[in-house]
Amino acid sequence: METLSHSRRLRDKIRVIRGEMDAAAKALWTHPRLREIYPEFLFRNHAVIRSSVPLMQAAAAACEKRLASDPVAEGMLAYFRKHIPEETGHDDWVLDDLETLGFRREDVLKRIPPPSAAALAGAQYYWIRHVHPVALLGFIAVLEGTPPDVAFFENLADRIGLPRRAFSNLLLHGKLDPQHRDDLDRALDALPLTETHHSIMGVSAFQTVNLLTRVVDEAVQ
Amino acid sequence: MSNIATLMNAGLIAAGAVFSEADQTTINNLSADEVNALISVSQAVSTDFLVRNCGSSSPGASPTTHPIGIVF
Repeated sequence: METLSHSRRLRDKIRVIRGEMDAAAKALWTHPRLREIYPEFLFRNHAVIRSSVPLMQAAAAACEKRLASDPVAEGMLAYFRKHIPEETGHDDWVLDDLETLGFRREDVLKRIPPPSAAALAGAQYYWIRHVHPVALLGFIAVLEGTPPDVAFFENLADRIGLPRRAFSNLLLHGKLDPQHRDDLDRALDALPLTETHHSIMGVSAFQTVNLLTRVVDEAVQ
Repeated sequence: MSNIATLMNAGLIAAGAVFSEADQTTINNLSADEVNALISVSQAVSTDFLVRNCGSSSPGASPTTHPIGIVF
């Protein structure tokens, strides 16, 4: 029987439960009023990814506390130390996109984010602080697992009559995330993960898919 | 009871859903905690979208035409 790599096991689990999330994505990007909805989507997008670097910092701090006792802590810490500077400032790209569409960043930052976005990030803080920081790798596997297709979003911008500059966050991630996805897979495969770690990552990934779907669904409603 | 049966009883797998052998293995190898998590958040288990839109639920198949768009 084939022994699957750590990364393959996690990716396979995400694949079998992502149907509703993919349907939500299709409903968004094919919506007849996408031009009007897109700014709201960007606001929700920002609400989620403003927590990306702080979450990784929290996970890194948790790993530092475990270095003497936890065999996976060192490898995870190395991954987060590399990835934190790579992701720093990416939430500003979304604010840039909103400013391109006429929304001042000061006004965006004053809005109260949706509870679904808070729950998405909040769940990760819970897992990191009270269970194990390996949970965040399940979260990251979902968010970086399907890099945006650059041509798709360039064509979409043209189709709905918005400047491509308003899609800079997606277009930049389309170029960066294939490498980030591969980096995470390599990091996962090098870790001495146990079945418990796999369960924690799986639970975290499932919750991430569920809440991410809700964040996007709400933008379309 | 298999995980697939458990999730079907919980209404998270549609009656008559067809999974590839690989996906059946993936689902049936989920831990009890993972199955309970799916039930807790009412997360449907479905590769229907992949099969309908990409013709396959095989590893590596992904609906790249409609990414979720919230990226890390």
